[in-house]
Amino acid sequence: MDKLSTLLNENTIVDFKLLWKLSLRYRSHLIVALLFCYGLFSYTYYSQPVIYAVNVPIKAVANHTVAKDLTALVPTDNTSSVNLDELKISLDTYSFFKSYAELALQDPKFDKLNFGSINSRKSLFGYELKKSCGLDKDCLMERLTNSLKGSFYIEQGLTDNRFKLTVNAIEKLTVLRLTAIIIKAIDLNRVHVRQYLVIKELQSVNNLIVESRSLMQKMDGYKALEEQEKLNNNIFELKEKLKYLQYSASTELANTTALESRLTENKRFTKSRSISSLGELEKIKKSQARLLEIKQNIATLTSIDEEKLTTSDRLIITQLSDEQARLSKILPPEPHRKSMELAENFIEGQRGKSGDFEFDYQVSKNKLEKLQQDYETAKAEMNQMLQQKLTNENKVMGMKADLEFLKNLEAKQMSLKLLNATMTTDLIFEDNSSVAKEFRQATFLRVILFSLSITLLLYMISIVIRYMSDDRIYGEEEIRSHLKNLDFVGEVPTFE
Amino acid sequence: MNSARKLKLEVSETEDNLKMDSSDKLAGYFYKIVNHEELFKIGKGLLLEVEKGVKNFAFTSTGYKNSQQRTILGLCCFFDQNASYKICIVSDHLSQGVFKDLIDSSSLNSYSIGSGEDIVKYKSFHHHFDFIDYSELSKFYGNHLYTKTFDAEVASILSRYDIILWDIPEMEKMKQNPHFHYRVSHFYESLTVIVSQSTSSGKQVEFIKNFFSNYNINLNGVLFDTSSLKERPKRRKILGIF
Repeated sequence: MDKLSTLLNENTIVDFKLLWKLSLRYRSHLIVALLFCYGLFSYTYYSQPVIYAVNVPIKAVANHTVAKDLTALVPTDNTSSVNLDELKISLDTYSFFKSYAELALQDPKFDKLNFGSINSRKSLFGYELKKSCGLDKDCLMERLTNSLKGSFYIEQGLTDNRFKLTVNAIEKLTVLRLTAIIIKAIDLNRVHVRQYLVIKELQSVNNLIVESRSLMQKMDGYKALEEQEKLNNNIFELKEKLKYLQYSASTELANTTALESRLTENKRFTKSRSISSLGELEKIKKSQARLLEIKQNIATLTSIDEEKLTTSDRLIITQLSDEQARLSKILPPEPHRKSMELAENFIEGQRGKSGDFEFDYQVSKNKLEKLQQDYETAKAEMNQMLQQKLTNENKVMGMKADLEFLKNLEAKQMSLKLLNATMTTDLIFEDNSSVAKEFRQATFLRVILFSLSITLLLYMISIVIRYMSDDRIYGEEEIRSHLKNLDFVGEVPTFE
Repeated sequence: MNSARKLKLEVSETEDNLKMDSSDKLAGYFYKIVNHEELFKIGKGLLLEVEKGVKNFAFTSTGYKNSQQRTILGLCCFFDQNASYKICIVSDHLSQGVFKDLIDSSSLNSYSIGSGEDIVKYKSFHHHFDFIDYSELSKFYGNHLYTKTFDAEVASILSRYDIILWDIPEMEKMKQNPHFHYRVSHFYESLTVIVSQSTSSGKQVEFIKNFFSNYNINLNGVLFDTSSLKERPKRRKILGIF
């Protein structure tokens, strides 16, 4: 107890001066302590597994959402982006780890990957996991999921929308493979997270559309719409028909008028032409034929040699020549004769066609009457349809708001479908080619400080225990404590 | 004291030259002492005791015979330098150790006891000091067991000296012959224990204290022997510190 009381000090609790004295006295303890410190440091530092880490800088891009007015199909920019807390929470879910594990399992080098935790110094290779779980896939997934927990962490970057992903593993190949896998897993996760909202919104829009359609069904809205559309089509067709009938009737009227005029004129013309003019033309034709015959005969006779011609022949030639001259004088000039022939042919033709003209005129007249009847019928039908359309339109106008709503919902549905189909991640992995850094969990300095602290504590305890148990006399203090009321005379003389 | 001075006067002139030589020898020892201040401190204390009438000074230790003898030799030198006292040194270790050189230069004498049947031999160093061996007293004690003659005769021998310095044997030796030492211990007037720094333990000191308490002798003082550390071979310091 005396020794214990000497160790304590009123002001400093422990008498550090005495401790210093003791440390000088028990130097062997200091040497042992130094050796212990070195041993502790070596064991603590070098027994740690080497950890490999890859840092991947991430940039969060602004969100894209559909317009709020429910009409535009073009996505609009939303400046807000995912923050660190939100990202951490979304990457700490079981579904994410499951997806991460599934991707890891699909890796071709899965068997060689070491999924051992960086805290426990134990290796856990992919093939070991497979071996331990056998064919039980659930077991494999669960064990792999547990092993992957803590294999990465995310920190805030230099700016609000920048983060730093750090992937850790106790093997170099594993950390590089896991980095590639986790980037893929985060990408998928972000797309799913972002799609989730869109899908939910789409579901609610679909429900609203179903409700609206059901309401419309109850109100015969669709029937009214269909009728309206049908009426519109019918009216359009009828309008076209009326136009056609009007056009056809006017055309036919003109035709009938023309035919009537032609028929009248034909009758008048054929009556005025005399029979004499017709006989004169026949005489001319006969004279022409006789003249042609004479010319042929003269040519035949003149082709015979002069010496061989008989007198009768010469006489015949003379008679023929005389007749030719007489006929040539009778016959009118060639153009006049041709016009006469043409006029005669025309008159003959008109006379032959007179029946046709009559028939055509009657047909046209009947056709015109038919067209006029059709036009009237169509016009009446048109008036009826217009009346019906007016009635239907009033009904449709009553459902205009509901229809507008349904239309907007359908537009929104399309927009959401488009957005869902084209959804991308909101994170950009800026550089995933960085090399794996090698380090130990506890740094060199930290281990030194830890070793020194432990050593100092143990050293102090050891010298205090030694002091408490040490009975040897080192100076006046010990003498006084052992031999109370005894004078300390001095030191024994020493000779050179 | 007077008797001692008378004895000195009786010294013949022929011995003067020898005495001069012996003084030089003692002076040599005296000047070889490293810690004079400590010697003077001890010497002064003893002188005060001597003036009070105490003349038997016993020295024991926790097993450091050399320390005991060095202390006694130092005190002899001190007294020889400061005052002319007739000094007797009683030791069990005369032929070896510190006193060997002086013993070799000393002449053998003896005290006749009683009717001359017993003699106690002693060695005289040129009348500076006399050396009596414990064995001489033990032998005498053996002839007079269980009588008071031993005490009286020893007292008569010791009465011839001004100062008697007792170099007490080791505890083991004392335990071997307890009766003799018990009888001798009656002459110890002042007992000083020599403790060796860093070597002697509290238990050893306690043991000596208790041992002499049982003999009804109280410890008067403690001397500290630091030479045990100094005499150790010097080792190379690690980093110049340890």
